[in-house]
Amino acid sequence: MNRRKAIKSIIIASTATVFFSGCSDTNVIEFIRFGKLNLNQKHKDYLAIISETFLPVNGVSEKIGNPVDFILTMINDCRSVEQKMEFAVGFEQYKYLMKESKLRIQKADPEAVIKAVGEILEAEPPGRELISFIETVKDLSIHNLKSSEYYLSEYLDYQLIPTEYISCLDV
Amino acid sequence: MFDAIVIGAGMSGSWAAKELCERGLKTLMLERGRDVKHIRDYPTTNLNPWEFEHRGQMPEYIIKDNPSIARCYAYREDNAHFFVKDKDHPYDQDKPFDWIRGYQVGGRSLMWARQTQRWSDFDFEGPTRDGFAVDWPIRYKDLAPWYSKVEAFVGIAGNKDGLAILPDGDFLPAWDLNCVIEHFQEVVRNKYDNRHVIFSRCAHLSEPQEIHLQQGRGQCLKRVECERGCPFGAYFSANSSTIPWALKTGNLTLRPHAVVESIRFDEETGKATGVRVIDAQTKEVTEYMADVIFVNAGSINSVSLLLNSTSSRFPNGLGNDHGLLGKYVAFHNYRGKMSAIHEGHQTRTYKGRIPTEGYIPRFRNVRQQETGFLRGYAAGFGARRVKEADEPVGFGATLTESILGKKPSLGPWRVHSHMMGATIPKETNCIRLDESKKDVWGMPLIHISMDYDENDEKMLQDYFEQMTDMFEKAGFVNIQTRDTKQAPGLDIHEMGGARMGHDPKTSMLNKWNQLHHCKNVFVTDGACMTSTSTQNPSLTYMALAARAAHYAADELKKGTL
Repeated sequence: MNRRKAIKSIIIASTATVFFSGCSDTNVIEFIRFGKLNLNQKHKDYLAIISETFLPVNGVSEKIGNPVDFILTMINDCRSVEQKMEFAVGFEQYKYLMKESKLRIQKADPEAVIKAVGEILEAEPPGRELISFIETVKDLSIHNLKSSEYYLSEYLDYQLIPTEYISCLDV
Repeated sequence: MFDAIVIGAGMSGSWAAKELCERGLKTLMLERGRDVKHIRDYPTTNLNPWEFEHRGQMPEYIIKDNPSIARCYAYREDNAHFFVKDKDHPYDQDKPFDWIRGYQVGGRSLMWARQTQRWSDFDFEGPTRDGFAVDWPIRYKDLAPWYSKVEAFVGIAGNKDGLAILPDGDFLPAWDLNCVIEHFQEVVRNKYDNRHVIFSRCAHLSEPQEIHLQQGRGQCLKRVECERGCPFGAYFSANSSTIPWALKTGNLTLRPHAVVESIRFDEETGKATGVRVIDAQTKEVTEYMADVIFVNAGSINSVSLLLNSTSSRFPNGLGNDHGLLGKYVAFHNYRGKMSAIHEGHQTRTYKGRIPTEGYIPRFRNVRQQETGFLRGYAAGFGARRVKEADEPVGFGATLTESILGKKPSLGPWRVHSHMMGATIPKETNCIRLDESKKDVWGMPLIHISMDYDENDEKMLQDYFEQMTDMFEKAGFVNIQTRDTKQAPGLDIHEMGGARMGHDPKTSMLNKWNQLHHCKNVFVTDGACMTSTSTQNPSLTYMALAARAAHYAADELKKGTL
């Protein structure tokens, strides 16, 4: 199946909230227990790869902190049950798309993944859960970076205790 | 047996306790919430933004369970532990009222915005001049020495502005305002006769004096993380200042987790004898006796406590012969917000931060009635210029480059203002006790009925029009007005319900904050307010509490109370 067909099938499937049996591993939706998304390590690793693909932070990743922990914390604590469900469905669709596109998790060329993601975002009609998943991972990865010690200190000169207050000075 | 009981360990209660203890009275302070020890119980005070699990965002389940406090600007991940959860302490409401509470030792003095302005006679004479409520039984001269006493102890940063509408106090040095606030200040000064932009006076130690050092408090480091609790005691809170000061006298007994169910009244003597307390944790009931009782539980809770203090003599609540108790409650109208861009001063900026901004004292209807609404509004004003990053774009290396490839640069000057309008106390804005519903301690649920009126709507429109005019004269562009339509309560300035007045037939309290009909009970928190004016009220509560406590101590010593 080519990617466009895969996207189309995902969109059709997602409108009926059908989950894919083509994946050999556990469906993400099954990790929602008691209103929380508790991914296993395999899925966490996968999510880390997605985050790193969307927002590569080579060289500074240690200063930024684990985006997956942050993403899951935010999904679990700051999103509604419906949004968690949407995230899980979107994640499963994403896995399926990558599989159908022959983009293996560990070895996929980031450029090819991004191209595939670009096609998803431009697809008509849009696949709500899949697009929401992609945008959520992207947004929370950005949030994790921009609220990190590294970014706040190096880019915004944040100090808990400012050294001084000068009411007016030249730029 | 104590000489005095103070109900409530917040802003005004701690002032009453301090004064009573200093006068040698053995004082019991009762607080319905937990103890909060200065420094020890500020768990987030030294955390950096990246150390918060949700980086400042409130979890969805908390917002869902607590819709009222979730709407409060000050309710954040870093200070959520100081706010009463809606579901833990429910109340009934006819119309939306977002009640923001802090049940703990220190009360809302831990979370307040620290803005402190004196009232003037333009405020105290307002009801009589404009024909609403009743005449205040005091004037500025009665309170002025107590404002001074409180200001000296608390530490207020400010300038002597020489404005009749906002009397000067005994201030610590103000910080300089940034160049755009100064620009606006100059425009307003030059273009209007009676309008002023001043440094917004605040309860921060810009330059601690000996009295502050004796309290163990230090210089404000301008972190502006105040609502987490300040480990330096640089802003005033009961926890860092008045309560430890009172404890040092050896005369204060502090009892947290003490829910006061009622004030006991002795029909023979015509005096209150003490209070009936329910332990918040064990529900064990205890009675404490004292010669004098100060009610400082916070306006709505103080009124509720009086309503719940029934006897044969007072079947409708202590001191409530006329049915006025719980009526004529008012608040501040904070619905108006404005923003704009300032395109000037592009080569200027500032460094660091300060815990306050600019303040525009009331200029409408000051000396005469000049609009279609009564009273007026003050306004906050600020100007900020921060580093702003470009919008992140794309995916992969493109996205990373859009975020990390270029350091954020200074954005435009953004100016903002918010309205602080007086509301007129009305009989229909009221508090009562529910006849059937009870809380977990078996006490009647509080029922709140409050709303805006036509006067508030007209005032809001006037704020938008006048501030737009001022912004335009200052050359600001992209001027935006916003009516938040927020419910009453989010101003966190609920006042009245047990108002002061000359006449026992039309008021609850006399000029010393004593119940007209039960002279050894004093109410010195927001419940006593006859009208609201526009000033942030805490300074006035503290001054009234100190004054009344001093009077009570005198009367006790004379044996006349």
